[in-house]
Amino acid sequence: MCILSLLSLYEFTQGFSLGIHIIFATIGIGLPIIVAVAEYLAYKKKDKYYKALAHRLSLILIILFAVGTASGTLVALELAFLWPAFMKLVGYVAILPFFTEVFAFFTEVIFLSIYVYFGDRIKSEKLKLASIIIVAFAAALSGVLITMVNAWMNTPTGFNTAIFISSGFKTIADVHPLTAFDTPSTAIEVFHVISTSILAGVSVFFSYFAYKLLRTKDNDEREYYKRGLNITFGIIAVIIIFAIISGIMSITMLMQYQTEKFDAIELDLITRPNVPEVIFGTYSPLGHTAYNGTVVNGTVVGGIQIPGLQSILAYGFGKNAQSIVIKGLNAYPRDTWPPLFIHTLFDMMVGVGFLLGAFIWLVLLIKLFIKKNFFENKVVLVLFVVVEAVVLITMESGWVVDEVGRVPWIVYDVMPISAAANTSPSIAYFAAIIILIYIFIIPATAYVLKKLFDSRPLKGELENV
Amino acid sequence: MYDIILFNFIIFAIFLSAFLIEVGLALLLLIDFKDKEKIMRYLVPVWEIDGTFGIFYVVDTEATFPTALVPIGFLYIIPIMLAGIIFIFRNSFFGYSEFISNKANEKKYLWVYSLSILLVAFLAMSVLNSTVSGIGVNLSSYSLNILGFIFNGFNILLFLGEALLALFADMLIFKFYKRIIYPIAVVVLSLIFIISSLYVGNLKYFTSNMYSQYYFLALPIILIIASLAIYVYKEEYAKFAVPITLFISILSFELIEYPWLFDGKIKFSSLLVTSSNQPIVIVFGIVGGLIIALFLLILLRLGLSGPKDTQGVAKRIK
Repeated sequence: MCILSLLSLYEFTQGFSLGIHIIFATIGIGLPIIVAVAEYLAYKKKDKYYKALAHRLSLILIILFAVGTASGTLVALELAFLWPAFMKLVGYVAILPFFTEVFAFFTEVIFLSIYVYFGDRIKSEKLKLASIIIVAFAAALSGVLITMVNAWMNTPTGFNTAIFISSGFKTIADVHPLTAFDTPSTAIEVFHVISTSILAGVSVFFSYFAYKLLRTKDNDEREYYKRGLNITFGIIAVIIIFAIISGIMSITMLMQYQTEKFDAIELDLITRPNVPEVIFGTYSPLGHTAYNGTVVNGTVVGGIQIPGLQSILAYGFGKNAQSIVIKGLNAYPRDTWPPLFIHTLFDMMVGVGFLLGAFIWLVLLIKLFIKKNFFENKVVLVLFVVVEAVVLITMESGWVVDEVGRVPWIVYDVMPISAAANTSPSIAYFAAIIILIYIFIIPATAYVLKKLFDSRPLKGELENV
Repeated sequence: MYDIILFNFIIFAIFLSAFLIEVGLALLLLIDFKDKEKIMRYLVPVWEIDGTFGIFYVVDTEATFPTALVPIGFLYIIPIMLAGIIFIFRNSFFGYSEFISNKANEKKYLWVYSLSILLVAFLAMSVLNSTVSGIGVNLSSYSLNILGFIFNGFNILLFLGEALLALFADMLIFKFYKRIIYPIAVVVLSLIFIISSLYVGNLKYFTSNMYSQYYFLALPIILIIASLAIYVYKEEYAKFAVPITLFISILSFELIEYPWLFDGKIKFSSLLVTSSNQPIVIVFGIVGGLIIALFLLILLRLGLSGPKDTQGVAKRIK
């Protein structure tokens, strides 16, 4: 098998498994927050529905945690085996966030065990509540620390990149490992990833509660699902604002530190001032784009181009905004351009994100000021059921934009993917097995959860509580 | 000896002690399923911690020996990925037995879990044993003779010794056998297997280190005898004495192996991270480790101090 096709297989395997793993990871961040809020409300209001909600969701949490741990272990092994030269660099320069993440992970597993397995042995309700709050905090902290490594891949610091490149990716000198915690993109990327992860994780259960509310006629069950819907809706309404703000900040950060990726997602083919905003549209290699005597191969086909809007978004309405030059893809060699389909994904993600935000806040305002029982409306509930799919697709699109937008680099502008890969052909079979495992992992988990709740009907549990 | 290597050895010894306790419990499930309720009471707080501690050891190794990742990536991909895949079965079937089993299929699920953990242990120990012996490994071409590295006298005997040591530890910690003759027989067999494996494998550097540092061999044997004595005379302290014995035995084994990997072919120090990184890795490890140790104490106190009814925990909270 030639090296190129091996590389494509590894890229696909890593991307595919991360794409599935991220679903577990986001649920792992979002679900403990729902459980903690339900536990708090049960404690405050002495309400049996909140109590049952916290208990049943904690069972889901422990199953998803077990699957997520196994999946995370597999992803870690993949990273080490598919990209050993990259992980060697990480080992020297950016290992501390990984190292610290293990402790966050440990904290999560210990307090999750305390909450789920031994909660009945904790006499104080406050201590029990504290244990699930610690789980939620540790889960988010794990996400923060892993995102720090991703941010370091996007804006690498903490070692001498010139020596590393000139030595053929062998000499790692002038190492400052603590800087991996604070690269130029860390704060904003962490802000965006955590807010979108909470949004995605919580929306899974939001849609689930809406679906169950549509299906059930039993009053007890309806009360139970309404409470679930209220909690998740409240979290979504708050977090979606942070997701949108952090998303806007991410674009500004890209323009400053990852210009090539920025150009690809904006389809800026040529360096120029007064840059138009291209909404949808695709890149065509046919034809030429010219500006002030500079010519670049290829054109933007279709879509809407709003003159000067990108410059306004980037630099505001000031006098000079339209005269500031924004570097385009023509400033880079053609073979380092990321795949330009990420432009479409990016536009879709931004469009859907804003629409979703508007929808959620519209519903919130109607519920607060016009119709208190708005969640009883069947059309609204059907729309709520769709939210999960919309958010997951948007989140996955975001990750594809981030990761594919870095291609051909595994460490931006420093280490190409080809230099990081394991060239041993024997790994190809394992890559195929990993793909098969990830195809089965979601239906298998869904089957287990279904069996779990089939054996524990809600009605019976509510009576016991 | 470098502090950072000693720290990595200590983490490995703690991890392997905890992992062997789980392996021993899985073996007990296979041997004596009627004691399932009692075994599960101990397995529940242990099994998820073990998986997490394994990741701690892997990340610490990556931080301590980053240069080793490339040869490991080429050499051990097949056994480690296979172990990773079986690890998913281990997690899944333990979860099934806890949450969706009934009387009819619980035994089946726990058997698959037990066999999975034993297979993971066998593959992982084979990799670690091969880094001690170098058998089946060609370091110049970064290639591995799969059959040779697994099916050699050293690996098989050492694994059997380790598995029996795990069984011995659990018999004493969890008081599975009242008659002292059983754990004595098991640990004697274990020591015979472990020591004979070194001679069968013809490990020159390792055995030479063992002779010159005989105290590292004597110490575990003394501690094992002391653990047996504690079990007989002060049974309640056995749950502390035996894990400490396991920990010191594993650490002694590593100290005998030091400074060579692959029986004299590579030095540990040649794979080390730069000296400027070493204190930071140690400080992070110690601070994080202490916090986790505190949390673990809380968990174990809750787990081991629970009611003596021994229903499956998930079923109890149902």
